[in-house]
Amino acid sequence: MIADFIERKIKYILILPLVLLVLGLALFPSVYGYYLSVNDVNLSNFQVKTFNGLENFLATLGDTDFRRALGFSALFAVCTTVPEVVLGLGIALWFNRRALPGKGALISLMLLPIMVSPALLGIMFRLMLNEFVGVLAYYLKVVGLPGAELLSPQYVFWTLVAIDVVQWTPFTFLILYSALQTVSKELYEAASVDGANPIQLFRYITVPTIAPFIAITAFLRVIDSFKVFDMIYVLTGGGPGTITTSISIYIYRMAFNTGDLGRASAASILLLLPAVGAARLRAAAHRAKGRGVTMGKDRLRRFVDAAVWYLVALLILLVFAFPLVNTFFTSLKSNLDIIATPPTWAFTPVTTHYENVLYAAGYDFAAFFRNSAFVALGASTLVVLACLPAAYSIVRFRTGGQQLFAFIISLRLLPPVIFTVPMFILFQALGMLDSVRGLALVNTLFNTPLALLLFVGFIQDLPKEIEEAAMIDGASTWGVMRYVVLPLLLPGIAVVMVMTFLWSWNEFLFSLVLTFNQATTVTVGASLFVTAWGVRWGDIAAAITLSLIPTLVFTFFVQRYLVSGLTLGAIKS
Amino acid sequence: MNRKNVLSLLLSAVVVLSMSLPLAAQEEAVTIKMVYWPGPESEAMEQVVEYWNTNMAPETGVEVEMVLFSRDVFWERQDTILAAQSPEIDLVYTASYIVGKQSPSLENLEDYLEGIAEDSVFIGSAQDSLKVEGSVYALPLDIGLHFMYYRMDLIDELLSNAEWQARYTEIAEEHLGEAREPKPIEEWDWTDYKAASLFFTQSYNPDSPTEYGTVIQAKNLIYNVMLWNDVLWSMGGSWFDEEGNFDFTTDTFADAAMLYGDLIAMGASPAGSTTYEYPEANQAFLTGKAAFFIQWSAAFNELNSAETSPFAGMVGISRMPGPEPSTHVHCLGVGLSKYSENKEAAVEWLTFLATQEAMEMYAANGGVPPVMDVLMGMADQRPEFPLIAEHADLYGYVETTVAETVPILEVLAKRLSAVWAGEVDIAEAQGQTQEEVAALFE
Repeated sequence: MIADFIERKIKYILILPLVLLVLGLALFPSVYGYYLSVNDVNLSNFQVKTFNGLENFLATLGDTDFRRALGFSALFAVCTTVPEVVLGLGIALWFNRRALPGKGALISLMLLPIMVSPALLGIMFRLMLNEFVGVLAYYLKVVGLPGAELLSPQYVFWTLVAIDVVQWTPFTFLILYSALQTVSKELYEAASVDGANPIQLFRYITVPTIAPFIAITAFLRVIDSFKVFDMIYVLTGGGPGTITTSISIYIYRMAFNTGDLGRASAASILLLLPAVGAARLRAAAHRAKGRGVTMGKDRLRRFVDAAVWYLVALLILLVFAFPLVNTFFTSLKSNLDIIATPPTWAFTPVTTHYENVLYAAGYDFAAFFRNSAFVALGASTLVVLACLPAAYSIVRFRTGGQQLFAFIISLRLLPPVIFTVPMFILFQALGMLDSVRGLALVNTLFNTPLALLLFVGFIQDLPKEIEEAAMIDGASTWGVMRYVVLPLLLPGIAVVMVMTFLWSWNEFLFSLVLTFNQATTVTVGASLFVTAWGVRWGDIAAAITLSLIPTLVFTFFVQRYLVSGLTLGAIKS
Repeated sequence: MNRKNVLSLLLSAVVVLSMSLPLAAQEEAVTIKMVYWPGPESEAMEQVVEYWNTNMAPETGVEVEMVLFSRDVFWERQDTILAAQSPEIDLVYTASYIVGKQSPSLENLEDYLEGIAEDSVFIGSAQDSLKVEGSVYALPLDIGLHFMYYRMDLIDELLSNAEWQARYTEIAEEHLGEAREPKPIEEWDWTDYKAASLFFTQSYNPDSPTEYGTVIQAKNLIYNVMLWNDVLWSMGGSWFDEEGNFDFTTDTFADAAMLYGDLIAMGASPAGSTTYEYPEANQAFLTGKAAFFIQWSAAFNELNSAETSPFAGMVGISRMPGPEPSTHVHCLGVGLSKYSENKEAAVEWLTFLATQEAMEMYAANGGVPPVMDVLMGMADQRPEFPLIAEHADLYGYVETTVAETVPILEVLAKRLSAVWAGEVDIAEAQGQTQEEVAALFE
């Protein structure tokens, strides 16, 4: 009887955890945001609210700074996404050329930039771009390029674009590299026999096959770059004037500096409309088959090919991992060596900064690590438990239709800053402030869109025939999920867990706002070395280096599953 | 990855989750929580807290816990807590420029600390800087103001080297249209400041020992506006007209803004100045690139210490240039949250903090308490302390403590940084500032 009931209602049961999560955590902040948007309400006198209709919306639309911030964010999104996708694809093609020893380690190292919070990376760039003691500023000046002026009005936009490209190209590389694994070798061989040259192979086989992956990657990068906050805030504060004010910085300043929560909410809601539209335009799911291509004819050519491959791969690595390599060196320099001009690479290493981080500064860094581990592991687990069944229900039973899917994806499109005040109020009411459980839940919520997007894609690519065969043999939907779908999706689960782990480990805003001291995470802990009177460069570099170790180790061991997980479509063939 | 491995991973995660539950549930009942930001103030206060917890807590039953919030988005984080009327924090960190904004969430301390308004150990002007509408809302525990820091070796040489003096006059005449002669820095007006900035800039004077004369902090940041306010006030201006209304359209305001704008445009301050704040300016000075600059009093130790500075013992301190030398003064302190559930305990701790004993301890560990006896009595260890007291007394001003102070500073930072970067005309920026500040009070 119960089994029958479950079978009849299975599509709702499967989606229930996700719906409860979203309703529980996102409904109140969203509704509260709408409420604030039609009220005159100030942060310093929060309890007093006066209904003012559409005044906040009209004022926002009439505000030149809002329109300028919108324009900046749109331009920034385009100018970063295009090179990130193109470079990511180029590097992926290069890495895909050869299957040589050590490639896995190189791939892990390539991912270094996405293992650091943008806020912390921004702080390290502040040091590297410094006219007097900055490594980058110095060497660019030496080769006759603008070094001192990189953050001046003339170059600041492109400097910010370049930093974003350095940090996020590894992300596009990862997805596109995995996509390339799915291109059929037979197709290449057949086309080659017909006389196709490498450009034609790329144009007519590679690109069409991985187009869905390119679309998803571009989609994710456009929305993330559009709502850029931390890195720009740390480096320029949105200035000079407002020339680098992104829409997130605009909303943040309106909410916290001007204190006008009504206007800040109205601005966020104005963004919501195109955001939901964009979510509905999400690119098609993954479709790909086969395995990658390898080549090589004689030994000498193979040796030269391999040598060139390693050389180029290392050069690529040098460019993308340089900020982190420099951070590591900074962590080992004395304070005087850090500000030496020209930058010194021959120095006596000191452990002072590590001692400061671990013992001397009075912070319990071990606890910060424990908290981060709990939050990242907790969110990774919960996101799988909530999104996997929901994705199955959405794909196989069309539960919720496009609307539910679009609403959840739109959560990723909105600047998280708009949720901070209502989320604080909600957490206070639930008694979850300064708790790692609360942080794990928040990270689960904000990673839900990406997880759902990936799971939906994976499940769409699963051969439905196997499930149908199991059902003919008498398996229930639950049985199919447990004995057929789950085993096939294990690599996909690994992917989602790793992505969520990285994002949660690096999450900054909510870890900052929703904690006091018990639940402080490593990322927030590292920022404690930015003091009222300057930045303790060596200490913060040591903290960043230490915080990288767990993510690097974790990624090293699972990077091969990341690739196989992202290309589940291969099992179709 | 096989099924077993993934399931193990999930299982481990669940185990870690469940192990952490008891930790998260722990709570300490008799402890009051006091917010601070990381840096010398918290390091000094930590020692006072430790003394209290060791010696006084057993007797009073009150323990103090300092909660450090990261410097970035520090105020915003506290604002969120106060807006939510959270009892999580008992003592709120505050400052002269933000106490007005926070005051609806703070208790009037005059209701809790007898005699705090009339008879406290703190310098009167310091205590006044944390008053809102005449009432004390916080204890002033640390005072900050600005000095003009300069390389004594360079200024001495300028005043004694005839060749340098001739070149100085020549540069002033050529670029400022006025044949100025070098003067002791204590007698400078803003034209002298400008002339000296050009003289010590290598693009105007290839023999200058420094690449730039000065270094200006022109990032879109409220603390940079506080520094610039000194230029405005020292030129005889302010944010107000004679009736006390906000007025940002005066000629003095334009002159003060363009002093920064001109020096940056002329290359007398580094090219990256429009993104500089406190540490970048210090680095310019410490690497020998700039001859003098306006900076916070807290910088003296870093600029003059042999451990961090190649110019230890060569760093001079002066007042701002005239005609009306002025320095912004603010105090950092702690106020009592209206939403605290431990007010009685918090007041015991505040009462101790408001004693000379506590403030001496605080100063001995690196803090700068606005207590005259303490500042004057520590001249041997901290040579800048008596100067802080003297400058606060002679040149100090507090812009205002109205609730809109921070939003006004934000507007100024946004509009002025655009002028300094050469992006917007000063007249346009003045109009925008006036309009936006007026909107804050609607």
